[in-house]
Amino acid sequence: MIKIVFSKEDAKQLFNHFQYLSQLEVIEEQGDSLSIVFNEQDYEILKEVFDYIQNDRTQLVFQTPSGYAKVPVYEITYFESFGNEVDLHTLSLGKITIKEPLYQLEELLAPHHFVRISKSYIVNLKKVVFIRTTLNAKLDLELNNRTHLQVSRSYVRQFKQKLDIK
Amino acid sequence: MMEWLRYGIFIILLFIVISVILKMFTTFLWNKRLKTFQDNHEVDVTTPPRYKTVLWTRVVSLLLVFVLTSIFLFGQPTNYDKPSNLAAKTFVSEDELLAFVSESQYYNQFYLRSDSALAPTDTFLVGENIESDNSDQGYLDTNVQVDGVMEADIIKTDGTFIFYAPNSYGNQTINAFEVTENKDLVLRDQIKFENHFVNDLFLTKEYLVAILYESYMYRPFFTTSRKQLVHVYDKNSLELVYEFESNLSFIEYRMIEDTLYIVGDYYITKDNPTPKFDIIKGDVETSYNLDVKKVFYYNEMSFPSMTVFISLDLETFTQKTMAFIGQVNQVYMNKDTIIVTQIIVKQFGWQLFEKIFQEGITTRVMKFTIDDDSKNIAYRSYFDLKGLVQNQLWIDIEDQYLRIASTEPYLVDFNLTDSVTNNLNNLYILKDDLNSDLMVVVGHLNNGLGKKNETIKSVSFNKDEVKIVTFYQTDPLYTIDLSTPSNPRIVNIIEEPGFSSYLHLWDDDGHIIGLGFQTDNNGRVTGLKISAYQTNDSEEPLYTVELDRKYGYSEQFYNHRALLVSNAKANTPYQFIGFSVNGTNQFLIYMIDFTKEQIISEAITIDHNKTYGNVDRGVYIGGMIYTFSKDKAVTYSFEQNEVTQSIDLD
Repeated sequence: MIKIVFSKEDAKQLFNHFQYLSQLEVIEEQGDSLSIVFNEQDYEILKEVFDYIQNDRTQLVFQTPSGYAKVPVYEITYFESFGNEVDLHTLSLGKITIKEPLYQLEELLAPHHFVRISKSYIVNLKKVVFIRTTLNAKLDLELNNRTHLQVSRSYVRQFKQKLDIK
Repeated sequence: MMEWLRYGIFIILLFIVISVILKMFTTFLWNKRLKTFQDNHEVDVTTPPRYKTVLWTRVVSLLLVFVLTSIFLFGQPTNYDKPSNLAAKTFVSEDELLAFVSESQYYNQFYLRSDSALAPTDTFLVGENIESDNSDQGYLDTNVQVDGVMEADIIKTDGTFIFYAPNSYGNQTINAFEVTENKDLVLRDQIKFENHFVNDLFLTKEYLVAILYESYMYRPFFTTSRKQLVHVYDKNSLELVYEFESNLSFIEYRMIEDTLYIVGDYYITKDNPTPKFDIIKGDVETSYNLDVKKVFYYNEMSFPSMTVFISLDLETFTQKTMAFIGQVNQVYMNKDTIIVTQIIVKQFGWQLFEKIFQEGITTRVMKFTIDDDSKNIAYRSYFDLKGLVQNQLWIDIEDQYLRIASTEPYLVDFNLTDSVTNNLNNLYILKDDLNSDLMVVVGHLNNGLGKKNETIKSVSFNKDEVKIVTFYQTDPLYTIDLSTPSNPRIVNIIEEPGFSSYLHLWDDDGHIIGLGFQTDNNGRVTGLKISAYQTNDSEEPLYTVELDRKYGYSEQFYNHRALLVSNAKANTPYQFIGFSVNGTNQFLIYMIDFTKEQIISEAITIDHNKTYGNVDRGVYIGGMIYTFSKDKAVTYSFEQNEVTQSIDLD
């Protein structure tokens, strides 16, 4: 038996995602937090909860020209490369220039639903709000900050596969 | 708007519409995929409503643009579509048709009679004849006006078989000959009719087509009414495969590939306002009446008869019909157009002649289009021109222009001391109007076309030129440049005694052969003549042969189809003309060579010694001339320069 204390805000998000959690007993509610007890039969779902929290709360460290930057994954919208430099674009932290090449970032970010969409761009799929097809068989992605990026033809198949992965 | 441009724009538009629809469809699929991804990964990003609005706006706008553009492209009339403002209308019922023709000035008991008063009392033979078909490398038969548009005649050949229906009064026989490998003529079979008479023949790759008629005399009016038929035979086995019968009087017919086009005349009766068609194919018999809704009329032209068009597809054995109120006298046809002319007669009896003296004669020219796929014939336009159009050769179409010559008959007004009349002749260049069915005049030549009292005798169109012969006492042969349709101009005049009744273009160097009549100084005909002309810059004939048969007459001098002709374009080793002179029992061949001083050779005479009457026709097959009269066939060899065979026919 394990007792876990959640903030109420986190719990609400988790309850939305894992409906099973709402069936568990809340043994204590205090201020902004609440406690839930997981029995042995609930360990499997608990593992999923942890994975989810880890993914959502993961922060990645990137080498910058002046040192290192620690950026939450959910902040990142896309990466853009210019020669040896790569710009990391975020929702609220602005643009950060980092030193990691795109091919390394592609591997590093794969578990976090990032996908390479052209030679110069890696995009966070969770930030895409609309996809348009163009007459030249490319895709135009609109991100939640109104930015538009293009998926080049040779990366369309890879993009589709990534979208189809559950 | 030009047809190709219209379809070009439409295809481009269609391509764009399809592309955009495909784009929108794929966009929809991608976003559906994205939505699934977002659901699976609890991504809280909802598609803003504006995307749906944009999508729907695009769909609606696109359809609107497509519909509006299509209406713009195809809603407007062109040369090939119906214009919006039509003078010609169609009937909605047989009652309306009968009411309309009853208003005719011609209406009386004689017309619009009841069929019950017209029961046939006895049958008798009424002879008719003439007309013909095409040429190929190894053989020549009918001389046609338009390449690819076959004209009917009493003889047809495909280079192996020759079918010949004698040009005699009430002929009921078609002779089927075969030309053997050694060029001998063999009579292999005969088709004999008991109740029908043979008018004309056509020959296709598969079939022999016989145009037939029955004729009755009705009392007390002593008028004749016909039943006309088309019999289609397998040309190898001579098995009858299809019969088409109608109560029309056929006026003209043409064959384009495997489709027979018939122009017929039908007198409207109270009992049968529309013509009836009976068809027998194998064991199946069907019959139907012309749909009255396919009958056109002009308000001002009430007449108790209609002209009927029939297209008969011999591949599928299907028919298409339409008609208009009125009677035609000339029919021109190319592969996609039919032009007919009818004289507008607004008065009757002696009043007619007074009217003609006062106002001259007016001819209505009507244009119909043929749909290449469906073989449907559709009315397009009309124009009223001064004078008469006396021959189909006076009509021609080049590009979008209808070129047509007309002449007013020279009338002697006994009340006048000086009856000299000028400007009797007209050359019109017309084209369709986009918005109405009234053709517009692009060019008109009247001044200088013919001298005092001269009327047109023959016309020959060729691309950007036309040759016109006028005559009263001498024969001016005018060459008129039509390269600028709005400004037809006379570029050459050749004068000589006599006149040509038929002109045949010989080559592209301005050479033509004229068949016609020699006259004395007063313009009286003294005999037949053949003339060779250079029409580019010569002011007189290059060579003329007068036939030594005073007052002779040749059918071929007026009926172009009957003439056997091999000109420089015929792709045969010999260049010649061949015709018969009535009453001589001879067929004459004249070799033509414009490089020689004697352009027209002495006559080669093919004599049907025992024949009483005329040699009807001759055909050319592989260096031989096969000539036919009612009871004889005589073969002449160019190589041996002699008659090689003579066979008697029953």
